[in-house]
Amino acid sequence: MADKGCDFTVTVDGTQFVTFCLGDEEYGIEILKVQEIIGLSSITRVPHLPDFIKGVINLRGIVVPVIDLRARFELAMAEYTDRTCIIILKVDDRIFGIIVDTVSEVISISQDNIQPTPSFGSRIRTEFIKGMGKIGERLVILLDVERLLSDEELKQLKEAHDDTTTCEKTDHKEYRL
Amino acid sequence: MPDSFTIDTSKIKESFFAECEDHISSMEGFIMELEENPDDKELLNALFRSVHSIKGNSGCLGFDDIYSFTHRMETVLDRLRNGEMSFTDELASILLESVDCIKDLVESAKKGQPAPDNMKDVLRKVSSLPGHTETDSTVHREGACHKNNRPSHPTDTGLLRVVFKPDQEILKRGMDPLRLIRKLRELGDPISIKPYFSRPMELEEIDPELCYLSWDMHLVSKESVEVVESVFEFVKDRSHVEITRLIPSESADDGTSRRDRRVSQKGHGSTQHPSVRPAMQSHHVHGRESSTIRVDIDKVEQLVNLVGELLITQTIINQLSSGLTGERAGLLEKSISQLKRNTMAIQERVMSIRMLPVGNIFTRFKRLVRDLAAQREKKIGLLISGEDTELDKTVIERLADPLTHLLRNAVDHGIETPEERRNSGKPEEGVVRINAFHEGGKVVITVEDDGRGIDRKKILHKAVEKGLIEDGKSIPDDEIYELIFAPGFSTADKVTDVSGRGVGMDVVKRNMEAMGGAVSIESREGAFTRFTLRLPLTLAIIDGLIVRVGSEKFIIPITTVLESKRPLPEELKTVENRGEVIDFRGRFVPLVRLHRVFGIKPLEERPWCALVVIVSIDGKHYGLLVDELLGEQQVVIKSMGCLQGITGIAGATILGDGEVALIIDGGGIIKRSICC
Repeated sequence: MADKGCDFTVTVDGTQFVTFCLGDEEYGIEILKVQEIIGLSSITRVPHLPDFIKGVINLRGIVVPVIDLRARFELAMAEYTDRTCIIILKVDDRIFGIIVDTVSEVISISQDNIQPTPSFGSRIRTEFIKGMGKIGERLVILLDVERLLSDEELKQLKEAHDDTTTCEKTDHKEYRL
Repeated sequence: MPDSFTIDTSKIKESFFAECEDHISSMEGFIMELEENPDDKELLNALFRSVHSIKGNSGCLGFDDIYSFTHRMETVLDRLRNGEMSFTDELASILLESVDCIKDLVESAKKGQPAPDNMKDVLRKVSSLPGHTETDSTVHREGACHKNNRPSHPTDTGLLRVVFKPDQEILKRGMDPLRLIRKLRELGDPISIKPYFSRPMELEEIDPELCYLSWDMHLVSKESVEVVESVFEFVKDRSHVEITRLIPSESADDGTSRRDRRVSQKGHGSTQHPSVRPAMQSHHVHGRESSTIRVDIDKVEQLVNLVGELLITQTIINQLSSGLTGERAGLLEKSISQLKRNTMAIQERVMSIRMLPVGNIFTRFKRLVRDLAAQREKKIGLLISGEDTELDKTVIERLADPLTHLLRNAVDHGIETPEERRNSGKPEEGVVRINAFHEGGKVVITVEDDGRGIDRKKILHKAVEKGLIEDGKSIPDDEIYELIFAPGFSTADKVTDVSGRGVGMDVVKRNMEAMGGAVSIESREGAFTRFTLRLPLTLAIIDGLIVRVGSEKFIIPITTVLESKRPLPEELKTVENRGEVIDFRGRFVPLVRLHRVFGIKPLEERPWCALVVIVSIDGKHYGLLVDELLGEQQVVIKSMGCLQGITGIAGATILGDGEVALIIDGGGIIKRSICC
């Protein structure tokens, strides 16, 4: 995966990205990874998972996990509004949703206008960033969706909870991890 | 972006492997049926076809080991068909071994490994068959076997006219007409080959997947018309094949002196050659491919999901319409009930797609019993009934293991040796019976043998020895039989390679319980032993108890629930400050506070104001503390995608209101609660 770093499919018009906002920062995700965008629906919490995994939703009969992107990026939490959306992503065979403040538009960014990830200057951890896209004066943070919910991380989560020594008898809040 | 011009062979290989599995299991069936009816030409032809299909496909895909092996097998079968060999028990065994070998070869091809070693042994056995003269060098030359193995048709050079008009669809069935023509070349010298274009037409009208060509050939060959005809064996029932001898060979054709023999077939018409007819009939009897299609299970799953959504939407519409009044409300109600009936019908049909006849796995047991009986020098007949009983695909797959154990037990321990049976006045041949039927929404499968039955005393003795029960206590039969299922319990005097270690029955019980089923035993000493397996029709749907914990809903599988109660304060005890126990019918069982395990704020902390659901998990009882019981419902189990596998959560389901609820995995909950 590492060598995939900035390997976008290059076409004449550049790569298409779906852009969305968290606070006042604009992010982009390759359109090919986006299955659909839906409004916020009722989420069932799943115990024993980190806070950023909000739970599961019913997407036309399929149970789909959703993660809150603000929580994932350790940003300040915001109230869900009627503009809050869930972007359903399909990465390899995994389907999951990300909760974002608002979805903006679909834009094309040519390879020339994509710069490597700067080591600073963004409020989120660089491991989630694939590159920075420039459209005129706007700067769009292009996300590495594979990293948002990676297999290794999930595996660790499950294993950590199988290990009985990690549980301690404390008050209820602690069990939420 | 995948390159659309390269052919994705992995898909083709996948379907080849799936087809091989089908062929292998039907081949076993054919061989064993042939054992009983050695003269049945239809069976032999069906077997031949299966081998040939594997051979043809493996050749195309470059699996040379499979190709050359199946080719050898074909040679043997060909000799059988020509009456040059007779079908003996020994041959049956070698053929079965060959099938195993193909199975191994396919398996290694699937994994991309080299061919297993046993292939050589089997090949040696095949070559050692009387009259077998084939050498390695002929393996890759199709049709060459005809020359070698037909000493009974001494013929000299003659001229044949071969007219071959393949049906248009021939390419779609994976047959290459050119291959057949190349085969003819091996049988003799083609002095002319004229292709004809059957339907001259505009270029854009041509469908590249259809075959518009036909051929008229003149062949100088020593072979008889039958031999040449056999090249078209697999296409002749749909194509037009006409073979005429123009110049007879000197020693009158194949001894039957038919100078101008014409063989003509077209479509399913009535002019078929007598030898084709039975083959075709058997094709319809044995092969189900004509009336079924292979569908990816994912597609069925998607359909099941969508139907679930349809039901939810229908329920919502129903609820919305309930408060309406007026003239049109009645009409609406009427159409809604119509919609309801239709959606229910669709759901039923869709669920039934996943259902397969249980007979699919019974076939392999014939083989198991046959081989094992021979090995133990016992005479055993296997009677199978109810093979059409339908069960969910997943249940069938998981049933194979327990049934194998039960059958091995029946053959190894149940049925006595022929002498023993004679001495106790029974017929020498023992009978093992498998039966499957529906009963009260469940599927029941019984495995019964007329052998020595279960020795009560022996079990009691062993149980006392192992300290499972106290000596001198009187125990009812069913409890004694229950002991058989204990891990490590075996009454066998000697451990054989198939049974005696005491693991099998434990596996049977565990497997059955994991599927929400049950197993029971009946037996009479010296007369019979009968195991009865009771199974749910499907694993995709369970009966669930919906409970509320705090503001969240969970499903407890009803098969694990014993009862629910609101305990009295005095029925609760605390053990060493940590664990809580609750009085259940005079026994103290651990109390598990679900809200604590799940980290939820409960409505009620005090158990005597809430409810306790008593469950049985792995044979032990526990009390689960919940806030409220919301009802009982059949729920469809869904995977949670990448979140599947969290300890304590077996999966999720979608409730009638469209919300997701989690299904509790009892074992995992207990595991978690131990550390909380």
